[in-house]
Amino acid sequence: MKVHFWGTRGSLPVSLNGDGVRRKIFQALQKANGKSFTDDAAIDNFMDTELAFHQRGGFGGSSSCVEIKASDQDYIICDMGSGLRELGQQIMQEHGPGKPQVYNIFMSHPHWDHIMGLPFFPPAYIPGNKLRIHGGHDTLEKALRKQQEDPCFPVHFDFLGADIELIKLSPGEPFQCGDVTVHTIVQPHHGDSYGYRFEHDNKAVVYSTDAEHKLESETETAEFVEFFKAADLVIFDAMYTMADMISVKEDWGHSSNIIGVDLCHRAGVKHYCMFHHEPVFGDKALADILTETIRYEEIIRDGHELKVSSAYDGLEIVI
Amino acid sequence: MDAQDYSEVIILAPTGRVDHTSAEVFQTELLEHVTKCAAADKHIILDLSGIDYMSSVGLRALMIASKESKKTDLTIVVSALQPDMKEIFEISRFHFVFKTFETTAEAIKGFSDAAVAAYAAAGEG
Repeated sequence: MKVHFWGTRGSLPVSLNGDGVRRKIFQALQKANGKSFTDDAAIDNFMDTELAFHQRGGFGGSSSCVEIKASDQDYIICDMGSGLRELGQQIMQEHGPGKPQVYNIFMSHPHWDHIMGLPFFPPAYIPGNKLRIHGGHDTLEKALRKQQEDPCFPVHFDFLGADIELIKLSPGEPFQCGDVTVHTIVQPHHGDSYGYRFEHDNKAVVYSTDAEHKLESETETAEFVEFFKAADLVIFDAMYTMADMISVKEDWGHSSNIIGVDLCHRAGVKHYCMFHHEPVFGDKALADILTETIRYEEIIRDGHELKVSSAYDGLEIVI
Repeated sequence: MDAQDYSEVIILAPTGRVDHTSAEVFQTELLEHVTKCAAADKHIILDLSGIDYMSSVGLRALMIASKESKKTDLTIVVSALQPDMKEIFEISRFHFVFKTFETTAEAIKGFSDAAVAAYAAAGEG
């Protein structure tokens, strides 16, 4: 399986502004001061080896959208945040308008940052394409229609030319999507959210965003440990620091970086990937949080080593 | 959880690891002390020198204690963090939640002369 991250930001898409670009250029020039480069490859090598990730690149700012590729089957997409726009463009380049595709979309919930990409997804406008939108909310269709009503958007939902089907999923009942088995769990969030576990060819990927793990109930916590159990990859809502999550941002519906480590450790997960980044954090802050989270995992490790990473727009993880 | 009384200050000194297997007991005992101290106009120094590891569920217990203390005049400070615990406090941003001191002797200086004297008289100063 391959997992491609098209949007990793929480709550609201963000963009690096001119000052941010200038800071990166400034830092790169500082590092390059006195050096000379014989060719383009030398410049690439300098950037890759001497500039930190937050200096040479960044985490991106599109909201939640993750593609899961399992063999050659139909598309599997988690959430339709603003990252869906870029995925749509890539699909149009790859297939063009004349080659119908099936898109299996799994929705965590209908909050705006998770649905706003649909009106900007070109395949949704092309007759012959099929969009199977799966989710646990009765309000999902209403949300998708309302965001494309006046006065919010000029193109109404009914104008979408693809065949769009909404499929209600029930937690606890495995769902077969081609040769991928999908398990669903209800998550604590305003109005609930749904997490998904995708199993294929003895591999498992969990997509679990927008979930506030308050740790009030060991029964509830243990349910998630079981859902994550021995997964090869867990994509986890690590939006806040621990102190923020349980104080000023309590009941805002999100979890912390270190809760993700603890749950994944208990579940024997191989790779924990932080996701749904706080929009107020810049690239340096997110890079620092990743460093800290890796260190936390080292401190609490009790035998089982957990790989820790932080998702960014464009990241692809091969399972 | 060991508790020692020095004038208006109680020094609590838990030991071991606080994780999902032990956090419930830790939280129950801590909150019992918070309730008692609030009722008795006492303050708490949480000497964490005996804690070598605390997971998120243990930190949550500390946050609940902090929130409870803010409903009263009770002050809770933290002292003597081991290096790993100091890092956990920084990573979790709990060093912004609690005032922390390198040693318990330093922490008690923030309270009354009577508390400092009692602590010294006990051979701890």
